[in-house]
Amino acid sequence: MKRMRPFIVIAILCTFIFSACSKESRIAIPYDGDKIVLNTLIQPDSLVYIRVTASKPVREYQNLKFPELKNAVVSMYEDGKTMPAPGWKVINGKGYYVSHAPARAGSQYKITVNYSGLTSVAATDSTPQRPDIRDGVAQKLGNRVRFTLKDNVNEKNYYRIRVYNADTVNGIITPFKRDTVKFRLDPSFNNNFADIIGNSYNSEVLLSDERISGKDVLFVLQTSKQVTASYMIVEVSNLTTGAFRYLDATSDQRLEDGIDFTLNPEDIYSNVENGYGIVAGVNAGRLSFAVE
Amino acid sequence: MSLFGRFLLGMLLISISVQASEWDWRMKISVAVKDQPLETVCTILEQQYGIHFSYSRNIVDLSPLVTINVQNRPLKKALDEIFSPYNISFARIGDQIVLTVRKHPTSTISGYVQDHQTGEKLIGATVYSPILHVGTMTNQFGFFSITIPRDTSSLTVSYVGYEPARLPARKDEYTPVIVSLHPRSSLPEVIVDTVRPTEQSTVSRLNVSPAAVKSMPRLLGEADMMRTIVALPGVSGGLDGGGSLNVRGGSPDQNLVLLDGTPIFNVSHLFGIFSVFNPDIVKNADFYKGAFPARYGGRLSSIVDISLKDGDMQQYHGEASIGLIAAKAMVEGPLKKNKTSFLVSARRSHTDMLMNDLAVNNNTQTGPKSKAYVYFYDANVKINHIFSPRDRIYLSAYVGQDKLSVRWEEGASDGGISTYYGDSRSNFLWGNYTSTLRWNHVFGPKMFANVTANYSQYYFSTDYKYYYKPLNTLDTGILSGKYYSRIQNAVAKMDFEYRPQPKHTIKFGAGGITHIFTPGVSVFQDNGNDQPAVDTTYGDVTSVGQELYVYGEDEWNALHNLWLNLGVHASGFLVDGRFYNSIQPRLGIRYQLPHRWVLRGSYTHMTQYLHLLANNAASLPTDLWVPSSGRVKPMFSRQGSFGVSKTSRRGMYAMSLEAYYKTMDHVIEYKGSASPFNGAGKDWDEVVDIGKGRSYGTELLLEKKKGTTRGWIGYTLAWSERTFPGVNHGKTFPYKYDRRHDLEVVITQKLGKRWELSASWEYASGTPLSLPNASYEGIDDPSPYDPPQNDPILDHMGDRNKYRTTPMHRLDLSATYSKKKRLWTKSWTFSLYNAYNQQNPFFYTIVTDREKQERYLAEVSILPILPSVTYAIKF
Repeated sequence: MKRMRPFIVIAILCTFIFSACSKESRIAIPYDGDKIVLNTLIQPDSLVYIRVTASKPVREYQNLKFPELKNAVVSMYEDGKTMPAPGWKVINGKGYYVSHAPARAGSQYKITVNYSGLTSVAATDSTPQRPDIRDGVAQKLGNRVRFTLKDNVNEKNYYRIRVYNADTVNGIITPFKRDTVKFRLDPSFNNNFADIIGNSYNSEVLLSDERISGKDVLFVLQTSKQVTASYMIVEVSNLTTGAFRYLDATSDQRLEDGIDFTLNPEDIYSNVENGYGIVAGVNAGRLSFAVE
Repeated sequence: MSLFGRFLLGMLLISISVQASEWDWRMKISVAVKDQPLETVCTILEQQYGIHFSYSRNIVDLSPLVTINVQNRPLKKALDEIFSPYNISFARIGDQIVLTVRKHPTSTISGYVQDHQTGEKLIGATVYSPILHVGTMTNQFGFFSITIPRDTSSLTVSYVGYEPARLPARKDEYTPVIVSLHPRSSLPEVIVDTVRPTEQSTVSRLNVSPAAVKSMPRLLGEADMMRTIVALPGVSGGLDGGGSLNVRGGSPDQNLVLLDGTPIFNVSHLFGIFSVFNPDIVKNADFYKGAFPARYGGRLSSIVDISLKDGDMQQYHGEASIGLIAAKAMVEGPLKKNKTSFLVSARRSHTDMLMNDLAVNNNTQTGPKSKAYVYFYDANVKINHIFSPRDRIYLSAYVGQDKLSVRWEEGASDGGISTYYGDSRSNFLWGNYTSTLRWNHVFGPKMFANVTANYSQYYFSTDYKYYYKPLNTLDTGILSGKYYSRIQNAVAKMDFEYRPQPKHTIKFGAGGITHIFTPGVSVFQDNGNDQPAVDTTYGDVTSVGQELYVYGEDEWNALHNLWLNLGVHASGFLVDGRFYNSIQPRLGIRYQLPHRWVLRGSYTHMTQYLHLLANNAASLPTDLWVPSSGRVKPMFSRQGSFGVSKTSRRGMYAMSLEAYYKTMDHVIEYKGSASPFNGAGKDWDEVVDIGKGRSYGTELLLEKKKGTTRGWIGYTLAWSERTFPGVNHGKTFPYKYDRRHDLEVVITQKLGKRWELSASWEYASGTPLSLPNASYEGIDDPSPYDPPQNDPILDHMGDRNKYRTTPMHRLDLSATYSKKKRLWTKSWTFSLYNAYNQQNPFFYTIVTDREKQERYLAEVSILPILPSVTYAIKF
């Protein structure tokens, strides 16, 4: 449920009537000191990739990278039992602490990080079940993607939906993850009038099961561009409450590099004690299908 | 006793009696005492002249010490001279002089004060006896009642901008009198008003006249009542000084804005740029920030009581004007002379006609029919009918609406590349409807009553229609939906005003209010699918609250220099099976010192049963009104104030200084951010935090009230803070409307008969600002093998409102040229908003420049220098 920020309403008006003027402010931005940043989204049946970095001052020139904490002591617990310490591994130029065994659905994980000179941090979350999705359909040169989701009536569920163009690689349908399809959802699912009124499309949609609890629901996604790929993949991730709160609160910054803290001074959700970041469970189900 | 003895005794008694009855009124007497009780004088007269006095010690007080030297004066004149100063009357009954307390014969004069030309009733006119130093003021309907000694020769009736008139005092008259005042000419005023002893003006209660509103500099050519109020000390506004009111640290929902006694829930157009009140038809506005009279209730922070004109009873008049953003017209006149009058006004913005160059409309990626427009309108109608000198009714209605429409058209104009057609149409609508019926009845010279029935509604509505049709397939989609929220109020009340004597004006009454809350309903339809996927109606929860209240207050002139306003407002609120009640004492004191210095104090309690679910940072039309619930109790405030004021000898200058301290309980704030279209739902009180507020400060108002140069300087030094258990880690933080210093200077200057210049300059220290205090890397995906193009950069927010925005300052200028023709007057008004183009902060954001690899804090401002011109005619 990507929220329509109140700012949008005012911005629409102000854009209509006046031209806004922006300049760099001379107000000094405070800094609360270095802290450990612990990030991982735990996907069942996959190894756990734990990213440990340090925080920085907000104002920055010439460098938007965050320092990696390579020699941190990272411990991991599954349902209260200590797991083998994750090992350091560099993937695509970035360092991760990687678990030795895949995570399991329905388990609770606790991760702690100690690093010399910084306050130790810890965070805990569980992993959700895979969502029940089926019947993915799209037509070539069309603008609509359909699939069906059956919501589990016994749980409070949160979902993230993403859509990818895809093709076969060695006979396996593989998503073009750098080519996320932008789309929007019928606002009756999440009251999100903003997308349809503003004619905007997003690379992901977050929603709770408030409107669809326990139902077998046909989703119709309107894509911003015509479907031209031969294959498509619909990814629906079941999210824990923590994952949903984190992804929802960070959507502006993750997707658009934007932050409107003047009108929304709420802090981003974090379950990392004494530090920043998130440890949260997600369980993505992917629906691959050939475009008709 | 022997027979002889009885005879002698009888003769003695007869001789004494004959001696005692030998006095008459013409008999000349002499008596001289120094610092002796009056009783001694009586004893001397009795001893020397055989005059017996009879009186009750409980009623007649003969203890005052007197110094008398009466020589050879007739008895009656001498007694008159002796007893009159002590309010003692005397009369001969038999052979005795009976003393009693003198009763002054009094008479009560009541009636209406009105404009001689139009018959418009004048609110706040002074009816005053310069000899007795007693007076009264007309109420909201122009009615007055004053009880004075029968021998009072005449009264003076005065009103700002009118020639004072003399009202001959006659014996009791049951029929109300009509006092007509002549407007002063437009020449510079040289007539000096008597300083009115009953004048209640203070920084807690201010009067805003339409003339002051019209003389203020204008934004885009529109004179604005709310901007004038915002320019007063203790008040700050919404978007660059307009729209919503934030009074003494309170939020906009804590203001009760009454239009002819009917509450208006949303007071601004265009997201707070203009207020909904057309100043051409406003007769008077009273603004209370403290010292709330008991007749008002239901809000914590302020009362804005606006009275519209009644309509000319004699002849037709009209006004019309067109400015850069809106055009308006007003007509008033008699339907039946001296019996029935009407007033009609309408205003509409023409912003939608000026928006062809805007971004949406010029977007080359969309079809030629893609466009957006916004406009507002409002209209008032009022009918006033006099049934008899003692009965009249007022029927009025108001409608106002803002509309923002956006249309996107896709695919049709892409030269054959596109294979579908999409058409999206959306509307935002919000506004107020009100209707009011009021009946005035004069029960007698001392008793005035008003019965009111009114209805008020505020609504917000969004609807959209989306039509999608692919050219090569049959996959047509027709989506539609709407979201709306509403609050409705129906009020029935009776107000009485009883003026038994000049020292007392007693007001009492009772009323009932039905509140109907509909805090957000969504309705969706998908005509492209056979079956709806989800609920088509969502959040359809309506609750009804019943509020009942009674009040009583006495404006009491306790001593010749001490005025008290003692009152109590008691109310109860029933909603969803819960009942809340509150007894709210109201106390106002004014003590006049020599040399026109006045001390003032007040202490009031206020209770508010309505809450506004508003975003944590800004007020929007989507904000939702909800009633107190089981978890969220009614808001409650205590406010005390103390001040001093001084008026110059001729009333030219006035100074008022006041300090206040206010506490607020059960104020609410969203725990997280709010989505404007989600509705409140049943469990709205679970997503808000309940806390306390406190505000205090000092306000200074210096005014020049007369002459060709007028104006005021208002300065506010204020603190406002909030504490919520779940916000800012439970620590107290400055409230979003907290501004330490606010200085406003307003000057108007008349140049000859035709030009009037005005300028206003405001300086305000920065508003609270929350800033991030660290940035850190975010995460988007569980797997590192498909990384996003850019690593997310997140910011950690620091303490709530710990920092301050850049101070703002702005100069607005205006010049009006008026020329009187034979039948009408025309005027041109030239305005310059933000004359030196100061870029004041509107909001802040962190800019991330991936190319330059840098991040910084950006300050965004709107409303640059804005010139405008308005042309108006008046007949």
